[in-house]
Amino acid sequence: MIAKTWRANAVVSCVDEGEDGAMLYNPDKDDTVLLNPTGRAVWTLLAAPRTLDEIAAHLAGNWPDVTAEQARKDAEQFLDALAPDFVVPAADES
Amino acid sequence: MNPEPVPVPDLTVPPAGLPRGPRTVDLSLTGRCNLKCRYCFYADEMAGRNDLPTERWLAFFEEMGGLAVQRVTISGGEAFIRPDLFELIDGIIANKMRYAILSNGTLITPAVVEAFGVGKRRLRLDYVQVSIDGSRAEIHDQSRPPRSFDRALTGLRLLKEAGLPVVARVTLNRANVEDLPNIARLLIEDVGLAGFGTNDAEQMGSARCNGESMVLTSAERQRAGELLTGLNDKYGGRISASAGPLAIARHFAEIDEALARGDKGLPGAGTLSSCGGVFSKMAVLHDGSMVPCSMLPTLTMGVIGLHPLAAAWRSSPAINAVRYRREIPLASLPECRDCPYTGFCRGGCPASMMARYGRLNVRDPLVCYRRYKGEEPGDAV
Repeated sequence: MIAKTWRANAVVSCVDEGEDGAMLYNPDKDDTVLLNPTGRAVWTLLAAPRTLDEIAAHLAGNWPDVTAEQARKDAEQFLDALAPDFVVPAADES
Repeated sequence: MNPEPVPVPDLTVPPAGLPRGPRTVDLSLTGRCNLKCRYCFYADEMAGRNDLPTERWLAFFEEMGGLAVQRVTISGGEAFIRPDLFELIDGIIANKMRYAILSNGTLITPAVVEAFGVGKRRLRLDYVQVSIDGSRAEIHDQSRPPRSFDRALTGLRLLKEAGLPVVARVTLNRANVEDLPNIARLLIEDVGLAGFGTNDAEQMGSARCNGESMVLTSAERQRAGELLTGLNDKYGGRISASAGPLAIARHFAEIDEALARGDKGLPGAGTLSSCGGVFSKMAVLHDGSMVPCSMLPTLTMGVIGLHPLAAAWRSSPAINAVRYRREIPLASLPECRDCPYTGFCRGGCPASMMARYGRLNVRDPLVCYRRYKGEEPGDAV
């Protein structure tokens, strides 16, 4: 079975807010989301299609104090919060 | 005793916390207009500058997209006079932005309305604003050429009937104050708009020459504020204003209430803080000049295509001079030094002050609560 992949919605703009993280804006929905620095790192990763496991592995690999279990939970929460307006299934970009 | 001098900041350094780019940019896409209104604030700029070609604007939209600008407000002149308007709108959409259009309404035809149906033009449209200055031609056309009213109202109705987001703007002038109840009835009850915005004619542009017949007197401004406050009660708060008689009336009522509570001031007041627009938005004139606000056309921050937007936004002394007004206590101004209400005041609009006095760092007497109360020499507002 092929794992589902996700990527950044192409219509969304991202403005880097430095130490504060980043702000995403979806002009189709006129909606904004603020990301902390960790969220911004995941957003950058999603420039290309990624599976949930790949996102979790990125978090665990870059934040040594995060367990694999916690990384997977964080990745799930990230996708739950940002799909479908900011993050979309890779084959379903608006 | 002279007031305490205020230190001059380094105007090439932006205030702390300023976003890396503007969230909103006002674009005067053309200096051409099919009308010649008697209070047009942009009239002087229209006479002396040329329109940029399509490709210069499209390149600038890419630059704005790179800075994650969220929305633009398109105006002119008259925006619908540009034959490439929808090509420009598609460039805005392609660069991840939303848009609004300010129009006199007279060039809106069924074909124009149909053009909004292409691609994401409707989805990304915040609103089209049509100027309506009277409930009938005899009043509306006192500030505009003949037949303007019928054509503007036709345009407004076309947009409304097509289900597009449409709003109206009523600019108070000496001809229409007493017509306000009829205007409200027309726009809200007859046309069926959710509401409308208001402002008043400023002593700038063509109103410099026509001011005596256009710009409200103190008594008329106060009367307009009273009428609009009453109409807003009648229509459930569906009349809005960020400046002009209704905004002033609201601000004075806010001060009355705060004083009655025994408050010492209002949040964000006490300095020349004004509307605060320059912390999130800026403007570009039709010749590509970047300015802090389209009503501050002489404070040039640079020219699009020649000067990077990001640098102009953060480091231009022209816009930072307006931002740093926020650091100037009203109590340091000679005209406000002994005023007991400085803690409740934000000093008024810097564009009005530049137009009237050629200076930024003064307070607007039209928004002076002490004058309104008759406690300072001079006319009540």
